[in-house]
Amino acid sequence: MQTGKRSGRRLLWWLAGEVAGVVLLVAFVVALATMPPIQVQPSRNGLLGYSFKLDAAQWMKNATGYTKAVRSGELGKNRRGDPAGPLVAGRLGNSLLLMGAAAAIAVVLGVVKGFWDFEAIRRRRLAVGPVVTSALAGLPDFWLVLLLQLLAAWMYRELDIQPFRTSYDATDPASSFAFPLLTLCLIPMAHVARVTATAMGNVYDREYIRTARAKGLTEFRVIYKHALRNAVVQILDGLPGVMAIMVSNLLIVEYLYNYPGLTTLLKEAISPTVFSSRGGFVQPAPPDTAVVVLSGVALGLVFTLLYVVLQALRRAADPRLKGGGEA
Amino acid sequence: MSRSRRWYLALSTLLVGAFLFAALFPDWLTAVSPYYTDTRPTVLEGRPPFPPGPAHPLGSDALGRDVWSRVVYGTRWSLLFAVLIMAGRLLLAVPMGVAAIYGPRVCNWLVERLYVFSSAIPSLLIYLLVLSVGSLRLIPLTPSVMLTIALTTLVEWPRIALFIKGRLNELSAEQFVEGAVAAGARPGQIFWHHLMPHLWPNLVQVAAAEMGRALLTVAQLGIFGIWIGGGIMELGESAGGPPVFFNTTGIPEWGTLLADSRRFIRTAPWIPMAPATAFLLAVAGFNLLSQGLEGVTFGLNRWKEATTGRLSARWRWVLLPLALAAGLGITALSVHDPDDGRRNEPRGGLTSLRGYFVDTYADFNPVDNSRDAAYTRYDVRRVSTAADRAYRLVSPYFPDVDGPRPEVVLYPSHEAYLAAASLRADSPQAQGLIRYFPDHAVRVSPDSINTLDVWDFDRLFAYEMIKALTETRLHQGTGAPIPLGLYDRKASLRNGVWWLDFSKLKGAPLKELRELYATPLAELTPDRFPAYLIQSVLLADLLEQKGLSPEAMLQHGTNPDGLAAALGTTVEALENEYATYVRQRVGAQSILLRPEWRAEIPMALTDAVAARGAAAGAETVVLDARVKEGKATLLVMEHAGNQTAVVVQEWAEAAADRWEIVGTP
Repeated sequence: MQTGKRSGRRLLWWLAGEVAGVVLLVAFVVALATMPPIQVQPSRNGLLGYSFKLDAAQWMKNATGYTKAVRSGELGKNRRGDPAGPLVAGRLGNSLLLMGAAAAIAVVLGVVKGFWDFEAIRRRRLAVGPVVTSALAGLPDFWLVLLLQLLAAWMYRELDIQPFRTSYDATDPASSFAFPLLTLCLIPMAHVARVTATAMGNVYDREYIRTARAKGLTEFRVIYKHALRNAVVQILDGLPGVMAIMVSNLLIVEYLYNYPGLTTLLKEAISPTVFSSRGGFVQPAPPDTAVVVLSGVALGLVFTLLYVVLQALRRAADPRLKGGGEA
Repeated sequence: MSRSRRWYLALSTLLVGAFLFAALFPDWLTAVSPYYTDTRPTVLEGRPPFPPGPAHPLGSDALGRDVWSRVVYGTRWSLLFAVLIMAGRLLLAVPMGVAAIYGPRVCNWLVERLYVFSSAIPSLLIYLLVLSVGSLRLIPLTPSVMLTIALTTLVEWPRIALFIKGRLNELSAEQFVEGAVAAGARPGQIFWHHLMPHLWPNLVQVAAAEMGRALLTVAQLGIFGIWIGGGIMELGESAGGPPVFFNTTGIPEWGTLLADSRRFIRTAPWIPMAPATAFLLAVAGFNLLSQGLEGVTFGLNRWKEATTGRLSARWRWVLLPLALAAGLGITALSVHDPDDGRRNEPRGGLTSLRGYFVDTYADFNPVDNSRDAAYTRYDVRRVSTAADRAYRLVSPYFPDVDGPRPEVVLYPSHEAYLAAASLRADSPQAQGLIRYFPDHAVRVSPDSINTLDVWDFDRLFAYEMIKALTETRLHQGTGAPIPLGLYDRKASLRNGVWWLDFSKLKGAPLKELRELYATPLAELTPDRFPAYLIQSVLLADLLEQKGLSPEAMLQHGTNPDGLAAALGTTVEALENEYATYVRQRVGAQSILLRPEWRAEIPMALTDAVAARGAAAGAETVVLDARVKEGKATLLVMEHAGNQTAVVVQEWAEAAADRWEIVGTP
């Protein structure tokens, strides 16, 4: 009973902490989204000859204005008059679809590749596999995007074939999905492979593995029943970092492939351009605060949710963290 | 050290060393300045961007700037920004990480909370929210760099502080620390003498890893069009229209190269792939360095020898090469001017733009974001590419000779040009807008850019470049008629005929062969140069008729004796032949030989001219005539003794069929 009460209290504290974190996150994003541009002026007394000014009064005005609008039940509109909520929700769905598919492929293939690398190191075979994994893990995502776009352009020009689109085409969404998916899953897959190989390497030298082998178990049973079960915990420990990389890469991938996800919406909302009726010039305009706030919060929440899910999986995988064993 | 770690260290040293070399000595690796634009005068020669080729190993961008040069020169900027970001993060993170362990509890709380906060939102998103504002594209270099580095430092330092805190926690659990505590050491002593020697290899490893992350951040900001280093207004050619202003990057930093070039991925892929590949290699290099340094302790856990107190021998082996490398770097940076364009010698505070063959000096700033500076840079670029073009056109006429790079100086105004050349505005020599002066520079007035069309501009430049090369390559202060003649024959060729305007010969008597070679370059002023040029062309024509190839002319034609020897004759004979040939060629253009014009000129007038000449003991040929209402202006060639001159004569009809000369202006 005491144990149940304590774990219940712990759960409540944890929930309270997470809710507070979400509230702070939203406040942070609102603050960033409503921040007026930093003004830079030459100044003799300023730092290195320049002064930086942030109009705090304007900032407060923007933030309170937005908060009032939200409190009245309206999530705001973009400059074209479209409600921000459904706009962001639609784009969030696209981003989650892409990220979910990429995460699934990255984790599954990454673990398989990690095993392969671990076996290569263990059996002292050629280290091509681990080297390729290291190389992929260090690859900048934008370089991969540019390379794939270049490859696609070459194939179209020289071979007259276009298996996949390099920029999103609403008439062919399936073909437009391939390159973003490939780019988004490759680098996290390499990271998962590295984490897996390291985890297997750490676990393989433990005494219980030696004991299992001494008992006469087959190598397959030793690795996949004993070593893997303990390595999973370490793999799950490394996954939050991989997910952070994936979310960060998502911004680049969506932008470069013009994929209709949250990032392209966010980028346009942060620095929109309008076509002026006077002389037809394109000029910068103030940001669409409502869209920026909702998109930023949505992205932050996605990341936080992922982190919470991974923590839960971690607790499920490691019996030592389930809170039992206390008298 | 494991084998793989050694491989990582070796490969990373190679990569990082190559980038450091490129940062310190870009002049050695590139042919041109990163601000030099390759603009070609005709549509037939193509418009930028140019694909990779002999002129541009990695191609050029849309303005004609060499991509390889921009990537190499951008190395120092990108590495500098990465170093500043890394240093900022470490300067904040290390004290805070230490304070989290040894300081008040609020420091620990701050580090942990800020880490959770900053990792809840992708840092790139925060950068976008703050920096992706249109107005920040036009702020100057210094504030742009300061703002970006401050933001990237503030967002990511908690992560490093947390790592340092974790490492210090691990080290604090070691037995040697327990022993020190038991022995009564103070926290400061424990940290400095026991923890620091184990911590600092981790700091070196973290620094290497942070360099890679910082470079990646710079690249990602570039992808999103956020320019570190500010933007400038630049004037560029529009398709078929007048030049237009557009916003672009100033310094050739890799991230800004990516920002500017991403839209060319399909049409000109070499433009974005070059900086992207540079990022790839640099990030890989620093990541490998970080992996290679993982767990390395250097064995430097004693700073001083216990018995003597002197610096440990191991430290000497490390510090000495480090000090040498630092000294080399400082020396290289101070002696070998970084080519952001600024040089103080030899052109007194002017900025230089290094072209392929010619250095152009002017008072301009490559990163000034004002509109006036954009106009100046546009002019400088045009002059610089015209100078290179001129050099390419005329250098074949100076084969197998070496010398210093030609220099061109562009002045901010025509008045400054006249003042520098010590010319009065009303002197006939002030008409020349491009002129070589004997201090080894071709001086250019800005009026030449606006008043001359591209053909005249290039041609005048070529003439002055020939003079420059005559002095600097042939080391002679007198004219070189063979290169001038050969060049102008090619430039003046129209329908297979060399068109020569003999009216330009009026004024001083025609030069003999020796005089042609002995004329000082300083005397080839704009009013006298056309006559000299025509005579040079006539000399080349004569030599060709006598069977001398252009190559032989160039080989032997540096003085009259060489020419005579090549032709197997004497100098005197050659001189006579040349004088006769000149008279014949000039005389062949007499208006009287053209039936359609002969009828316009009264016979009495031509008789009067001939009679006057005969009375003076000279042969006369009427080259050109304008007759109207009893008045005539004639261009006449007079040959008397050894002198031939082309003069203008004014005649008037005194009575029917009787003409009298009224003047020779």
